[in-house]
Amino acid sequence: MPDDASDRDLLAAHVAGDPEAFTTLVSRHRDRLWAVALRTIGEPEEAADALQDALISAYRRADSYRGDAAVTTWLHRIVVNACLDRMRRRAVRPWVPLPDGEPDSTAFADPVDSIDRREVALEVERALATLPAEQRAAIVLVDMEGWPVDEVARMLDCPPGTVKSRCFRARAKLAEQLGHLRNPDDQGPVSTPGGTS
Amino acid sequence: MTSKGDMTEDDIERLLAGQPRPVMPEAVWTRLSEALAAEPPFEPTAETDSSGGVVVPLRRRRAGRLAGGLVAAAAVVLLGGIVVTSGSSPEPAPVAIGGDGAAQPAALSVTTSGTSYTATTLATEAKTALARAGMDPTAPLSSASVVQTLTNSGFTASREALAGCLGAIVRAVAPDGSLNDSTALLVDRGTFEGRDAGIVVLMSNRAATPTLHVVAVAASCAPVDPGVLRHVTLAAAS
Repeated sequence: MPDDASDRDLLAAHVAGDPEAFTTLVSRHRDRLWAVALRTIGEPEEAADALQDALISAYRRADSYRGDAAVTTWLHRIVVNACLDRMRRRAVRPWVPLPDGEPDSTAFADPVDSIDRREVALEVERALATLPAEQRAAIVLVDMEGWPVDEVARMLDCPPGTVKSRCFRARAKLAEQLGHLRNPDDQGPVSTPGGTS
Repeated sequence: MTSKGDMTEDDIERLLAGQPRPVMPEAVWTRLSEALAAEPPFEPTAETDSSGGVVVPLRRRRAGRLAGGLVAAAAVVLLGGIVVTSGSSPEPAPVAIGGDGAAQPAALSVTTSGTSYTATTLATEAKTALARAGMDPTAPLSSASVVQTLTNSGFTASREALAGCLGAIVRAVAPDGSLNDSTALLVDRGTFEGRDAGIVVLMSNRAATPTLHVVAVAASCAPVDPGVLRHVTLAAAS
């Protein structure tokens, strides 16, 4: 398959028997899928397990993709619901992963700032871990991954209003827990990585 | 200037959007790619019908009762002699319904109509859903086709979850065991009174005339808690 093959072309190639197409497809979106799994389920090993279950399920059920949504929506749907199912079945207690991004040129320019960003990230993850699974999944997808509400509704198999409601309740809970992050000395409202907003 | 502690909804959105996205560790990618490489080549497993549902052939077996000691959510043959296959597996995969002892309910049709059921319309909408799924409770089961669309959430996300939920429903609505040998005709995902729910239609085989039990349950229906929202009974011919 050419490198510029679309996601739909790759999935169609997989269904047609191309042995590499599905892995190529997943590789394109691996970081986003990993982020969703990790942020939803909160524990790296469980996230890896859930992601593997989800991808194998998607591999085997590739012909169930009907083309009425983007392939990435379909993949995310399978992943997030694998995470939710695992959390419900095993009562997974999320713990807080440290940020795992690649170091950038400014990461060590100001060690104090780097520590602050990691502490903020830890605080955010701890607060997310207190949310009910469905609220956590919704807010991860909408606020952290930037998915439109309608797409998230497809992923979570619920009405868009339900997604909005879950996000609203989640933000309210997070606001209570993260209010101490508001920096009264900044021009902007909160301390965020890379400066104020 | 806003004081410390006054975090608005917009503040939270910005805070979350600004969090660095974790990168998949190479060890995780190695694990996943090896798992995918170990999979057998993809084989088409089912065709879709005109409504987009996955049509699965129904194989008739002799009806029989299972011995006691079934564990909810175990993958075991069941369902009043009818084997339900999943479109995702190359071999027929039976669905186990939890419960103790006798033969268990069988889910023949799993759909996601998105119907907005209410307490007032539950019975009527359930009959409509049965008709839409091509299910005639008064017709021989062997003449029915199976349309099964496993969803990606709630108790219809897997055969095991479905089995566990159905067993829990039977135990909840009929603690006396009177529904232990019932047949599940339909599971439809939609909403009930505005909340994510599933509608389950069971047919009692013990009544002189076929009796349908229409049960609305929360989407989180599970062996430990079926989340029954509403239960109505009606004669199958009505």
